[in-house]
Amino acid sequence: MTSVARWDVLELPVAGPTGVHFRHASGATAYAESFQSEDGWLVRFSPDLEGEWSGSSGIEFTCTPGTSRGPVRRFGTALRWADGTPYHPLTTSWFGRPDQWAAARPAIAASPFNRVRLAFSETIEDQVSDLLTPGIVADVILPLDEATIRAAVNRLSAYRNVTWCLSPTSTPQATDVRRLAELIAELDPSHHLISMHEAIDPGPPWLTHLSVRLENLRGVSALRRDYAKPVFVDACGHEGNGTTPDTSLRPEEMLTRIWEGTVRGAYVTHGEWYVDTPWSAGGSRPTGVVAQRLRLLREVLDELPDGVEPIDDYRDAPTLAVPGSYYLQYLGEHQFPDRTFSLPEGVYDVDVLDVWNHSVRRTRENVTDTLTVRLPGTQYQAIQIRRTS
Amino acid sequence: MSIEKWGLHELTLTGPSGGNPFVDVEFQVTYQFRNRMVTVDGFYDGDGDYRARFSPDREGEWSYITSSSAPELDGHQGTFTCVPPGQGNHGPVDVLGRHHFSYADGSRYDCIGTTCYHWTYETKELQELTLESLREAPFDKVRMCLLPTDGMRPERTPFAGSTPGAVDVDRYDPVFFQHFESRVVDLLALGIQADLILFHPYDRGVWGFDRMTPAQDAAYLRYVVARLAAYRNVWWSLSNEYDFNHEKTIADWDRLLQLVQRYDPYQRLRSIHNGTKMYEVFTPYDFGKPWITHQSVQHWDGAEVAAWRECPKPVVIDEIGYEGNAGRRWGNLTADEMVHRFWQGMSLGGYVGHGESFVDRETRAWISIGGRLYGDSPERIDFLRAVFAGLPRQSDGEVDTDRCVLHYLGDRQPSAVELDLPDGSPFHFDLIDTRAMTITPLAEYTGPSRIPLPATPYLALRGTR
Repeated sequence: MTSVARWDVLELPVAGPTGVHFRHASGATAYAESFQSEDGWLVRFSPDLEGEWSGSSGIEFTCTPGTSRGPVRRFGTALRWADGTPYHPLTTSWFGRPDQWAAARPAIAASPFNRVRLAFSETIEDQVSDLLTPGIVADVILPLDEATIRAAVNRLSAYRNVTWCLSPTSTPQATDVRRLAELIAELDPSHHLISMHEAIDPGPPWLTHLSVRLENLRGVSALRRDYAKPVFVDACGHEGNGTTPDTSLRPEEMLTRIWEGTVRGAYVTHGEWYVDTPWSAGGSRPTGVVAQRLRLLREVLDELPDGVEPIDDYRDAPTLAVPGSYYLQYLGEHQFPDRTFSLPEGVYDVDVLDVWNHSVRRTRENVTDTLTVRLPGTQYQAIQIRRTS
Repeated sequence: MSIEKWGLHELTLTGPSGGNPFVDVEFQVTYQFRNRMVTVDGFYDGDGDYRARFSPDREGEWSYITSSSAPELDGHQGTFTCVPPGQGNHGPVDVLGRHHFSYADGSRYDCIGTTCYHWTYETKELQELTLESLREAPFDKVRMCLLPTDGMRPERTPFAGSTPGAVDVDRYDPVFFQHFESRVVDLLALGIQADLILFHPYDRGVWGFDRMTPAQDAAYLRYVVARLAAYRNVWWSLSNEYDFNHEKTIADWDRLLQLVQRYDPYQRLRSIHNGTKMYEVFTPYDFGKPWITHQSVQHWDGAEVAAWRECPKPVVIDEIGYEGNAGRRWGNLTADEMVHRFWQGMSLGGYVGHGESFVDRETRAWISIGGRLYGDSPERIDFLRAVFAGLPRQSDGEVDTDRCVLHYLGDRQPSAVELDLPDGSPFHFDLIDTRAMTITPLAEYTGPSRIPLPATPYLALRGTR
C-alpha cells in the first residue's frame, strides 16, 4: 500500500480536471483539486494526520509519522510549526527572475533567514521545492487573478513550506479580497497562512495575519493590539544605495528597524538594494552588512523560550519577556548608560548584546529584587536576561 | 439535513447550567466546506441549552465539529448539505463598488431605510401592527436598538434583570434575545435589513449599560454577535449618537468596532452613527477607518453627500430629520421637506433614511415604537425608490452618465433650465414631479439645450439614451 510521511507530498496522476475528497479514519476530510503539470494532470495532497486515508478517486494510503515540523500555523499573535514548536521567522525579500534563482539559492540556504518573500512566476515551484529541505518558508505573492491563484494553490499547497500573500491593489475592492482569500482557503488542504500585503483592512477573519509596509517600527505594538493577529512588517525599506528613500537605508537603520519590530513582537523583513546587483531584485547574494549581522538575532530567536510576549512594564524600551524568567530589551538609537530591571530573587545570566558590532558580554548576577545592567553608552544595544535558578 | 445558501444552521446541545454559564463555558463550532474552515462562537441559551448558529455561503457538503471547555459540548460532529437559495433569498447585503450596495446574488438593494428604535419592546399587538405597516411601506432597512432608554421600564432587557440598579450585566436574558431574534426573522421574511444599534447614549447611568467595563462591553458584543450574526439581514450599528455618550472615547469606539469585526465570521455591514442636535454639531466618526464598511451619517443636508463621497464608502444618511409634528426640530418636517432631502441626497449618489414622529395620533411616534405610519412621505419615497431602481447603472453601482442624466431641481421654481448635454445620439427627457409622483415625457435633446419647465418646485429631469 502507498504510504507517505505526515506533511510530505502525495502525488496522484489523474485523467483530467477533477477534485478528490480525502477522508481520514477519524472522519477528518480534505479536498484537493488537480492541476496541469508538464506530465499531465496531477493531484497533490499533504496529509496532516497519521493513519489510514482514502480518497474519492479510489486511492487508499497510510500516513506515517512526520520527519519535519510541518506547515506554519497561527496561534493568536504568534506562530508555530504544526508539530507545536515555536516559529520565529526572519525574512528576506528576493524578487528576481527565474534564471537568477540558481545563483541565489545557495546564498539563501547559507543565510540566517528562514523565510523568503518570492514573486509568483511560472517556475515558482522550483523555488518552493528548493527551500523545502533547508526548512525555509516561501511566502508566495499571488496576483489578484482567480485562474492563476487556483492553479498555484492546487500545484503548491502540498508543500509544507509555503504561505500565501495576495498582491496589494491600488483599486481597493473589499469583495475581491474576500473572494480570493476564501478561494485559497477552500482549495488549500494544508491550511497555509493567508495575508494581503498592505491590505486596506487586515481585520476580517479570512486574512490570518498582517503584511504591512511600515517605516516606524514602533507602530507594530498598536497593530498587534488592535488586530490580535501576527504582524509581519514585510516592507520597511532596503539597506542599500538605491535612488529612492526606500532603497537607500543606512545599514544601521535597516538593522535597528528589524530589531525594534522584532522585540515589539512583529516579524520584520530584510531587504537589500545596492545598485548593479540588488539582492532583493534578484542578486546572487547579499552584499551588504546587515544580513551577516542578523546571525546574532537568529541565535537569539532560536533560543527564545516558549510563550515569550511583549510586556508593557518598561515604557521607554520595547521588551519581550516570560515574566520572572526571561527578558529581551532593545534600546535602539538611544545611548543609555545603564538599565534597571525588577526581578524575582534568583541567579541570572545577563547578556549585553551590541547588535551592530555583533558582540556579546555575559555576566552572571545574583539578584534580590532589582538588577542594574551597565551599558557601554553606545547605540544599538540589547539586554538579554535569563534566569538560571 | 439541508440548509439554504445564506440560510441558518442551528445546533443545540445540552451542557452545564451551574455557575455562570455565560462566562464560564467556552463553546465554539468550526464549520468546513472543502478545506475552508469558519469558526463561530456558540452561546448559552438558558436551561442548560447551548446553541451555535451558522449561515453557509457555498452550496454543497458542509461538516462541523464542536470544541468546548465543557466535555459534554466538546467534539460533536455532523454534516449538512447547503442547497440553492429559495425564492426571495438574495443573500446578505454587501458593498458594491465604492458607494453602493447589492445583495450577494448580485440583485439590486435599494437601501431605503426607516427607524423604529424600540419597536420590539412594545406590546405584541403593536409589534404586529409595525410589521403590517412595514409590509405596505417602501422600506428595506429598519434601525432598531437592543438596549432600553433611561425612561423605559420593560419586562425584559438583554441583561439579566429589569430593575434599574439591580441588573446583572455579566448575565444575559435568553428570553429577551429569543424574542428579539424572532422579530429579526420577521423582518427577514419582509425582505428588510435589521440595522441593529448596539449602544446608545440615552441611558445616562440609569441602567448602567452605557458605562460598563471594557470587559463587560466585550462580553456583551461577543454574545450578541454569537446570537445574531448568522441572520443574513443583520447590520451592526455600534452606537446611535455615539458622540453624546461622554462615558466613552473615540479609542473606546475603535476598540469596540474592532471587537465586532473580530467576532463576526461573516463581516456584516458595520458602522457607527453620530448625533447633531439638528443643525448644531457635526462630529462624525472617522469613516475612513478600515473596520467601517459604510458611512452612517446624521445630518440635515442631503447636499453634503458630494463631500462625504470623498471617503470611498457608501453614504447612508440614516437620520436627516423626520416628518411629523413633534416639539423638537428633528421631528417636525413637512412631507415636502422630508422628500426633498431624500431627492437631494440620493441624486448625489448617497442614501437617505426615513423617520416619522407624529405625537397626537392613535399610536405614538413611529421612530420610537413603530406602529402606524401617518405621513405623506412614504408613498413619495416609494415613487423615488422606483425611479432610482430604474436608472441605468455601471457595474460599480454608479449611474451610467453616458446613458442617463438626472437633474433634481430642488425647492426652486425655474421656468427653464439650460443643460450642456454630450453630443451624439439624443437623450429622451422626462419631467418627474416628485410631489405629484408623475412622469411626463418631454422632447429629445442633445448638445447645449434649453428645456422649458412649469416653474413649480420639487421637479426632476431625467434624460436617457
